[in-house]
Amino acid sequence: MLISCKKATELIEKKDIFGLTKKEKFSLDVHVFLCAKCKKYQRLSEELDHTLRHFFEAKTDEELKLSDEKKGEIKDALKK
Amino acid sequence: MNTVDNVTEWVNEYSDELYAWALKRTQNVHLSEDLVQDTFVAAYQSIERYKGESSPKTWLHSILKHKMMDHFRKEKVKEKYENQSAFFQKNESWDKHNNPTLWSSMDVTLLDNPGFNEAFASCLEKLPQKWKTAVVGKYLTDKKAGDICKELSITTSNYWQIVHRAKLNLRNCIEHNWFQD
Repeated sequence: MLISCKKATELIEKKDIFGLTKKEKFSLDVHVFLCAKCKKYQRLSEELDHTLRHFFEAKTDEELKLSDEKKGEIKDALKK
Repeated sequence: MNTVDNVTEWVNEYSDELYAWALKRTQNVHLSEDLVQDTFVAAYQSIERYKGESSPKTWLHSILKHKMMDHFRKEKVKEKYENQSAFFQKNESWDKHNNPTLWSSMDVTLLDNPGFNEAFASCLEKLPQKWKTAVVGKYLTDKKAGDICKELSITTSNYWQIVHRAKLNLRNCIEHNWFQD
């Protein structure tokens, strides 16, 4: 019941989002124990998560506001 | 009651909030602006259907949600993104040019580097919009996975596969554009 690297890396993501069944968890644990590349990928994946989270959180309040120019355009569009 | 004035007032009152909601999910300024505009135009055109049973804010929000779902339903993802053969060999083990390497210097300092931030943003920009939103969904704490799937019109298994592929593509792009300079 050995799984491929492709499958293992998919399970790494699934684990994070939905969790794994017992069977999936076992397959992944065994694979990562035996496969140095996927073990590395698992760490890399965490690094990517970390980077993405910071990147998405970095929006300032000002960036989250609609520009006055665009608000004007929308109001104009309503008059058509 | 003048409906143009009414909806114009709603633009003043609710457009920032709707825009922020869309921008958080799409990470795309133009798309968010378009979705918000479409929302108000649709609200104006169907104003007689608004009975005031829910607040204008709730009503506008549900229109925006539908506009976003429509957008993702129509989006076609380019084949090169669906294809993972670049990362794995036929037997599904790692391709030798794509062996995972750790970004050992990866920490918050790297994110503080404007150059890295720019490279990261441009790599993210290259992803299909639907993927980007799927990835964002993973990090928005107020959202459940099931809700994200609904908004993106995808199945749950599709969802983690998309996030997986998006991360493989991102990693590839960043390693080419940043770490190998």
